Amino acid sequence: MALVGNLKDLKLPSLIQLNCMERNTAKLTIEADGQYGFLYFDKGQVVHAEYDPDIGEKAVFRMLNLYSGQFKVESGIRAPVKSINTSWNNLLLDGLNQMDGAEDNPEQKFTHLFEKLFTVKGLKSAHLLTPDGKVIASSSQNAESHNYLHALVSFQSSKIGDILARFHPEFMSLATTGERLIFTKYNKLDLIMVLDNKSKLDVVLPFLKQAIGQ
Amino acid sequence: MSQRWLQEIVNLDGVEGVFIASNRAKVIDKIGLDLKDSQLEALSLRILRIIAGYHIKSQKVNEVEFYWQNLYVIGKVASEFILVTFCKTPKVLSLLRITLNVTMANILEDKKFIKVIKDHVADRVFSLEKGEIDESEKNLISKLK
Repeated sequence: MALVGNLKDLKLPSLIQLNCMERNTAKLTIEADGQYGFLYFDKGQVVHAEYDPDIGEKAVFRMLNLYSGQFKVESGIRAPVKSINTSWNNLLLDGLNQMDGAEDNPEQKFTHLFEKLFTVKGLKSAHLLTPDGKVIASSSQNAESHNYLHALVSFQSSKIGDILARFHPEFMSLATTGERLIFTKYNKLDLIMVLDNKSKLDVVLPFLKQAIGQ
Repeated sequence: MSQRWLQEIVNLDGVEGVFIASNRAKVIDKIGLDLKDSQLEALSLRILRIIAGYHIKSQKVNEVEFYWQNLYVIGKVASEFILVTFCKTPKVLSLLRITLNVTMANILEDKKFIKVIKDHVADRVFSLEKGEIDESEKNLISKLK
């Protein structure tokens, strides 16, 4: 029987440790925001990984940055090829070191913020943009499909604040047919949180505020 | 015309006022607000630009809400108008949202109102061409398409 879950509840480093210490031969599939990643274990070693467009260690390092996503571990499935020769514990250490060292990288700088945000139930993705729509950080691979629209929404919110002789709204919520979006300012950037449309605003907003530190 | 429906909204504790604006950002009806029509129309235009942006992306906006300290602006979106409510307290927001849904349904069944609003019909993207548009806004709008 396959082990299934979400990376929000069980992080990838823990999943790797678990499979390696159990000396498993298995395939781990991760689906995050419509993109698939694969990690293969052979007798307790990580032997192959794919996360488009990367293969091998680089794919593992990128997957370690995922905050959420469905995963499935299927026992007994062998790797089609071998692309990783590093032992699992060194691989994990290298990956975690890279994550720590990446704090200066704008794309990684907000990892902790996103980690906190993804503890909130119903959150599908989060994006940080400059006022002109440039994506600074995103949990989603396709953040650039709506970045200018999100920036336009934030711009209009500011203008509404001007009309009412107020600052930019503390929060702005927008419900579309498929999802609910919450906009706020974070370190002068626009933070956009996308929730599923079942999320009750009054319920999630206090948790989001807490995660953001407001 | 729609005054009796709007009155039900302002009867809620903490609600300051409410107005209806057409897709051309024209104020059709209002109750209990100190703001001038020109301010309400400028505000409507901003909300309509958000709706238009999503329209370009083939998405429909049902509601928009703006929160400040002690001021909550709740906008409900219908195909031909927007209903915007100003509320001073978060305590009544849940009840207000329910009341707004009922009010929207009632307004949409009011034949006189529908006749009036039909005279103000405009394309969804009308707001992206009307009024003042500064350079950075123009730049964002051009990148939506």
